[in-house]
Amino acid sequence: MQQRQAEKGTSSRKPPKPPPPPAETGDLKPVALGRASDEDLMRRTQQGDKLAFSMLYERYSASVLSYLYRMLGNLEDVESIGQEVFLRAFRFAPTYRYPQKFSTWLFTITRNLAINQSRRRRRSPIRNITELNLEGIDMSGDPYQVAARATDDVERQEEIARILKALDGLPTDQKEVIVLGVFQDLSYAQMEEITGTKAVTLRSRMFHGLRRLGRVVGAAEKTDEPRT
Amino acid sequence: MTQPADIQDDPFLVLLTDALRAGPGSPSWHEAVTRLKTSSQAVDEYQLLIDAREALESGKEYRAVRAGPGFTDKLMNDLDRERLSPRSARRISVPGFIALLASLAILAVISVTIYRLYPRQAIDNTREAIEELASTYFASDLVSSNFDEGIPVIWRKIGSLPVEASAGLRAGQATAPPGDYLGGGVVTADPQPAGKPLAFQVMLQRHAASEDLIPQIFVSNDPDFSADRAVSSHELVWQLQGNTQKVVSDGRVERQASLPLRDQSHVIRFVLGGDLAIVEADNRRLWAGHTPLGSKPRYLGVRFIRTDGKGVADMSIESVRVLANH
Repeated sequence: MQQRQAEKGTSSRKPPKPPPPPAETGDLKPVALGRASDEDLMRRTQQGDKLAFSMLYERYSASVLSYLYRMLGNLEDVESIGQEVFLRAFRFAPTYRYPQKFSTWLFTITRNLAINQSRRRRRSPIRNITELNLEGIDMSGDPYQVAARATDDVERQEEIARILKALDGLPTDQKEVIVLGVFQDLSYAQMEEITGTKAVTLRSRMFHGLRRLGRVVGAAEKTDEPRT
Repeated sequence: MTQPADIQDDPFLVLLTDALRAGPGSPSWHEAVTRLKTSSQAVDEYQLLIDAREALESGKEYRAVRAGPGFTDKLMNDLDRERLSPRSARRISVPGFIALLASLAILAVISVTIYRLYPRQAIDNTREAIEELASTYFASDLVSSNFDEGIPVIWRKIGSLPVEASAGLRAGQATAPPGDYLGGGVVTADPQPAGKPLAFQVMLQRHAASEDLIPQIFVSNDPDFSADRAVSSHELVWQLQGNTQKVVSDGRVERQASLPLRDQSHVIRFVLGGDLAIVEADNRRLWAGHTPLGSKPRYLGVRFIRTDGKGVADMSIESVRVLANH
């Protein structure tokens, strides 16, 4: 432990003093920016720092786009709403209040846009998709392929794929809690803030949603059993 | 049928729904499953939930999509236009801002009402301590090694799998016996006191996912490491096998998550203070909680585990840093 080197400012999570308010990022090292918390990056975004917002985009784009794909199931919508989410986050950055958790703030925007889009979708025809600027669609869109990557056990693969397919058949409120809580790894407290629904109701939806999914597999197993 | 009121009144249902959200490997999951095993309740009904949640955990990559270059370019161009036309942005943002202010005011009123109506819950000391640890500012390097030319004397080699230091630390050539594995790496020669918070930060570089060569980053309170596998008795470990990362505490998997290959460089960070630890990968918290390290001095290290598989792997430890908060 004798190699003592002072490299102050390159490895912090939350510096004791708030960072200086640079209009530009010329004095910020990329490494320091990369290690800043989401909330600190958002504060820098509020000061017009586009590089800080790019970091946030890098951290959250996959999460937001995956959430939209899971909830909307329509790739054209994922692309257009995904763009809109980040544009709005940037545009409305001044309304963000530090130290609110940035992920909660961002997913509130994402969820509202997703709800608006699913309402609009009912009224408007689906346009042709000419070009998609998303990656990973072919790898993750098929439940059987996802299951095959998760395990070599064929029976287990069937079970995983059935569950994933059944997810789309759940009532929207139950599906939403599972997508936010399980796939996006958000806490009940965060989901409560995002959805405006009490945590205890969200817990109940999680319980009943998973029970429905469990019964899908249970019923399938009974059907598969040889009759005596 | 279970109603929200039932959940509110039943500590076990609260624990179960916590476990269902957090998933396999989480502390609440272990506790809920253990309690179910010893319970006289309708276990079959709950088993369905457990099975469904485990299946979801395995299928977490379902509909996981990422932005392509075209998506990112379009967004960045739109952001530039947004910055250059503040007038239109202001025109759009003002009503939204007013609406948000109104919402915040309503939310504040509701929050104050709830705060006054409901008794405050007991403070979770552990959570508070973890968040305090997470907010610690680590400013000074105690150790900083790039393994550019050999292994500095502050490190001690362990295990039977040779390691080579040249532009990073790599596993050397060795073949594990069939069905067995070998381990080798480096650990700090001197221990660090438990009472002093510190951050242990490792940069891992990999060019392909490997099932047969497993990098591990660990903290142990035991200076004795086995000669063959380079393991000790009480450890907190982060490891990567294929694209699956795990946090293992005293042999028990506490957290499992995918670590996609799209980022070839990964920064793994342990924040340690007393018997608490936080493990992060690429700036995301993987796990936090009590460790088996207790109040004993701890040894920090990195090692490679090679299985008997034939797969080749191109990975290296690019840098290791130990930082203190003063």
